[in-house]
Amino acid sequence: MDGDGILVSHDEFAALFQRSAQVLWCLAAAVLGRPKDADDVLQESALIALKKLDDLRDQDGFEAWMGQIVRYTALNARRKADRRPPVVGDAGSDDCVLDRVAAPEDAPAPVVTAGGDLLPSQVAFDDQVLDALRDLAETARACLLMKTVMELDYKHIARVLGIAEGTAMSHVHRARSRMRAALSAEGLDAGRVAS
Amino acid sequence: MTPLDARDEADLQAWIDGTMDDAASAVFERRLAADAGLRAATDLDDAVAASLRRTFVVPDLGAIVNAVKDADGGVVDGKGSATPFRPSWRVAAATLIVGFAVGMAIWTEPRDDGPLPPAGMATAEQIEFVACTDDGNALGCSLVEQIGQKLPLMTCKTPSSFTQATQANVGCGLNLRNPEALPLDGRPIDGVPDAMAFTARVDGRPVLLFIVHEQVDRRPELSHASGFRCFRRAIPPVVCYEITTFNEARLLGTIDRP
Repeated sequence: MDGDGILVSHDEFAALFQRSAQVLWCLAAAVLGRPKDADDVLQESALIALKKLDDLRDQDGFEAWMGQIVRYTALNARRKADRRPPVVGDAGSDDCVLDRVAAPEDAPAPVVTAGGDLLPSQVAFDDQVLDALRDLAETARACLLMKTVMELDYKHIARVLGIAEGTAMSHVHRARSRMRAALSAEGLDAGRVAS
Repeated sequence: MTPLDARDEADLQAWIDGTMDDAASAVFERRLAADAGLRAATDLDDAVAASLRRTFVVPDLGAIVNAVKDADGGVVDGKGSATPFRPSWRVAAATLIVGFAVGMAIWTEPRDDGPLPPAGMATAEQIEFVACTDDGNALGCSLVEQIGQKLPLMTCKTPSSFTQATQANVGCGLNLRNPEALPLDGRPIDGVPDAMAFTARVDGRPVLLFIVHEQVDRRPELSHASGFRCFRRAIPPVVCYEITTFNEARLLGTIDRP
């Protein structure tokens, strides 16, 4: 702190950010509905936060404050991506085609293990899971990912999202149930994707 | 799969969360062994969790964390007066350069390049190096990844496609008089209108070409330690920069207006 009204110093902010970076990345990915671009969102959020550092009144509120910035930044990125027009190109023209190389876009890359690629059915299952995840509301998605991927307890999830602990738990429980229902409706079951 | 009743659902959630006491957990696990529907639901929950962990793998965030640590005091003035971050042309340039530096090391796929044009650089001006921003260092990571994955947004294989790309992205179609400099991998610069970047291979070395509308023109920032040279050429209404490890610009002299 100093006399200029900065309640959290740059060094303190950097330490807090480092401690929470993975959780904040997960939150960004949840809002986006995909892992792609989450690191860009996190980085942009950090830069925004640095410029607004005097809004942060105490270190205990860091994750909620930073979480809100990440959510807004991710929402903006998602809206921007949704309305982004095709870049260039005229696929019908032989002499002046700008060949867009196929990018993975939203599809997660299959994980290659020491034993080889995932089974095709497992890759398809991952796609179905991602689709079902995107059908959840943003907060439910964030709660589920933070619980499942980051293995946070409900108190921690609640702190990051600025919601009650019980609400975080309800979101996770309902999200699991809805994911199960959605995937069952697709005719998928765990036995078909067992490795 | 038959939906679970409320009690089974609550028990299953508590069991997954690990909030059941030992006795309740033992009872639930006996039911699980005997109830195929409950077991199917549990297995599907497990499969979903495994899938999410496969898909949402947290990347190495060290570069972003370091960029936050190294951010200069001018950014963090504590007065809240700074405008929201938008990537500037210079930051974007630094981004690409950092990505490019690493990309040079990993971009080893050979290309079928023909002989190269003479320099012809009378109108290109070498500009001095200035400090590279920390923002650029952090931002560069994503581009490094993209270069590493060889995923350019577009590849101009013909002079006309180069003209089309520059027309679409900087509002001015340019001629590339030496088609042997092709192909060029190009991408618009996100968040910076009227600017785009190309990479090419010249005599086996990657070269970066930035084209910006003169209204958004600023000097790109390069680190003294980068080992790159930057050349500038104004072709109104755009300005072209070539960033290279050669001692002279190799592409700028081959670009002009139609």
